[in-house]
Amino acid sequence: MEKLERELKVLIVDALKLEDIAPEDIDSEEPLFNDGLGLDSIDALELGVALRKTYGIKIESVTDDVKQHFANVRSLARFIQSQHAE
Amino acid sequence: MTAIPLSRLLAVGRPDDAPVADGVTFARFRADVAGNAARLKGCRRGLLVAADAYWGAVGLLALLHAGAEVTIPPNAQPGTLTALTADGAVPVGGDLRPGGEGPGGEEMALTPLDPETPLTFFTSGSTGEPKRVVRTLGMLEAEALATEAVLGRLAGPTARVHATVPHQHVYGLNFRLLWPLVTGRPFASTMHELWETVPAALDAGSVLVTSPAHLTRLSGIAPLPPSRRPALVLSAGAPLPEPAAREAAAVFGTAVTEIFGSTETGAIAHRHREGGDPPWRPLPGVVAGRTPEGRLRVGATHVEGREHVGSDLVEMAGDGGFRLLGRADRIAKVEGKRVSLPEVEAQLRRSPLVADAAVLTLEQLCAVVVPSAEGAARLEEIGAFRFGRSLRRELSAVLEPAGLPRRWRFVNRLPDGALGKRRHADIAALFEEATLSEAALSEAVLPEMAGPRSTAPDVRAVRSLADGVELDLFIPGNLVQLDGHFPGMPIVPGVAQIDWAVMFANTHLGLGIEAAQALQVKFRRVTVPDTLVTLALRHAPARRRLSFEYRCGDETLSSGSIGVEGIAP
Repeated sequence: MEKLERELKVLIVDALKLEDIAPEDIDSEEPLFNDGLGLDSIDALELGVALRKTYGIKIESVTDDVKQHFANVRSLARFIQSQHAE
Repeated sequence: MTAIPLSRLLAVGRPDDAPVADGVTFARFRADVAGNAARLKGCRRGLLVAADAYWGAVGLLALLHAGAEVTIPPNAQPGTLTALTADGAVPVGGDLRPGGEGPGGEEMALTPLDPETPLTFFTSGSTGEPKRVVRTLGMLEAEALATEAVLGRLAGPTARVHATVPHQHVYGLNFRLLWPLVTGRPFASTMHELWETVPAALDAGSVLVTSPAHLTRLSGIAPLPPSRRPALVLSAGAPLPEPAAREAAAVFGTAVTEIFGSTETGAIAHRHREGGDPPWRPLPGVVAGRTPEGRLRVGATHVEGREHVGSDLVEMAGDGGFRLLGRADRIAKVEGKRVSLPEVEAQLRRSPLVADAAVLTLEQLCAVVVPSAEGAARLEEIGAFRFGRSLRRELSAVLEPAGLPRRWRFVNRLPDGALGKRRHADIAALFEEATLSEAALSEAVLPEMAGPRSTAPDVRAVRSLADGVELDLFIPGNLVQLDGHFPGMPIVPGVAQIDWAVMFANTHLGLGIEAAQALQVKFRRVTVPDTLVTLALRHAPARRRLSFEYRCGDETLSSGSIGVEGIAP
C-alpha cells in the first residue's frame, strides 16, 4: 500500500508535470484538489487519463462514489488496490 | 413537452409532477423560486454564485421575479466577488433554501417577467481584463428557443441533460440550464469533473454538455454500451481537434455537435462532426455574413442591437453557412510582413504529420506542434530539427517565408486553459528555459542513449594535403556539445567546430595550439549532426596561421583561421 502511494505521488508529479514539488512533498491524506495540493479541473482530467493508462482503472457502478476515490493519494491507492483485487 | 419562454415559465407553469432536476418536480421548483424570490424582495442587483445547477436556476429565477438585475460573475474567486459586490450587489447561492421553509415561509406571486430585464456577463477581453457584456432576458429566451429548433430534433423530449462544464457562462447557462428549463427536459444539478463519473450517469438518449478541454482527455474511457449512449454530445469554447472528435464519436457512439458563439452573441451556429471540417450552420433566426474585412457579421434577435461583428475571420460556405479562418486579432508582424497566426496553424494542421498546432511570435515565429502518429514516428526517426525543417518545407508551398515558423516545439498536447481556450502565456512558456525543455526533448527523441557520450566526431578518413590535412568526420547526434545550444534544433555549435579544428590540428599536424586566438571565422551554413563532413586544415607557418574549412560535399559550412603562436619555430 505504501509502495502504491509512493508510486501514485510520482505519477501525479510526472503526469501533471508539477514543478517545484517532489513526490515526497505530497501528503497521502492531503486533499488533491482545491485547498489541499491545489490541483484544478484540467489536472483532474489529466490525472484520470494517467490512472487509466497506468492502472487500467474502470468505473462502472452507478453507486460508486468516484469523487471520494479521488479525494487524496490514500483513497486513490485503496481504490486501485480494490480494483486489482477483484 | 412544449417550450415555454423563460419570462413566462413560472407564470404559465407545467404539471406539478413534471421533472426539473434530479428528482425535483416542477411543483418543488416553483415553490423554491417563489420562496426565495419573497426573501430577495427589495434586492436591486444580485450576483449569481450557486455552484449547483438546480440552485443556480432557482437563484436566477428568484432574483428575476424579485425584480433584481442579475450579474453572472466570471468566476467565484473571492477577489472577483469583492469587486463585483462593491456597488451593493448581493451574492446569491449558498443562502438559497427550499421554499416554504424558514420564518414566514412567504411565497411571491410569480407573474410574467419583463423580457427587457438586463443580465450582465463577463468575457475575457483581448487585453486579458474581463469585459462586461449585457444581454436581456428576452435574448436568453430567444437563444434557448433557437437552440430547441435545432437540437430538439436530435434529443428526445424527455432527454436528461448532463454537463462537464459550469452553468456560469453563456454556453453552460443556455445548454445545461435554460434550454432544458424552457423545453421541459430534466437536467443534472451536479457537474462532472472526472470522466470516471460520466458513463454511470448517462442513459440512452441523454444529452452531454461538454468542451474540448474534456473531449481531448477521453483517453482510456471504454466505448459506452448502447444503454448509456447519449443522443447528443455538445462541445463549445474552441474548435474540437479532429482526433478528439473521432475518439469522442467512438466512446459515445454518436458524433459530437459543436456549438459556435460568444458571450456577446450567445450560441449562433452549430455543426455535426461526422468527419472532416464541415461548415458552421447558423441557428434558426440567425443570419451569418461577412464584412468587407472578412469578419463574421451575425444578425439575430438574441444579439444586442440585432447585429454583432466580432474578431472571427470567416469565409462563407453555401446555404448561409460559414467556415472560421481564425481571429482577426491574431495578426502578427514578422519581418515586416503581416502573418495570420491562425492561417499558419490551419496550414500546419493540414499536414498528415501534424495533429494540432499553435503558433505565436516571440521575436521570431514559433510553432508548438502535436505530431500525428505518423508525425511522431517520423520525429523519432529524423529528430526534431529535421522534422521541423520538413514541416517548414511543406508550409513553404502555401505560405510566404515570413509565415514559416523558425522555432519549433514538439509536445504531446497543447497547453490549454478552461474550456480549451489557449493562453498565449502557456504557449510562450514552452519556449523559455530552453535548456530544460531541450533536454526533455532529446530524451523523447532518443529514448535509449547507451554508453558514454562522445565529445568529438568520429574520424572516418584522413588525407594529406600539400600544406596540411583533410579529415572526413562523422558528427554523431548525441554529442555532449549539442546539448542546449539551440533550443529545439540539434545544430553543431560553432564553438565546437573551432575546438575540433584546434584538436585535429594539434594531433594531425603536430601543432601545439592551446587556445583559439586571433580567430577569424565565418559560418555559412548550419551544420547538423548525424552527417559526414570534411574538415580541411592548412598550416601557413610564415603567416603563423592555421586555416580550417568544414565542407559537406561541395558546400562550405564554415571556414576561418586561427593564430598559431607559441610553437617552436
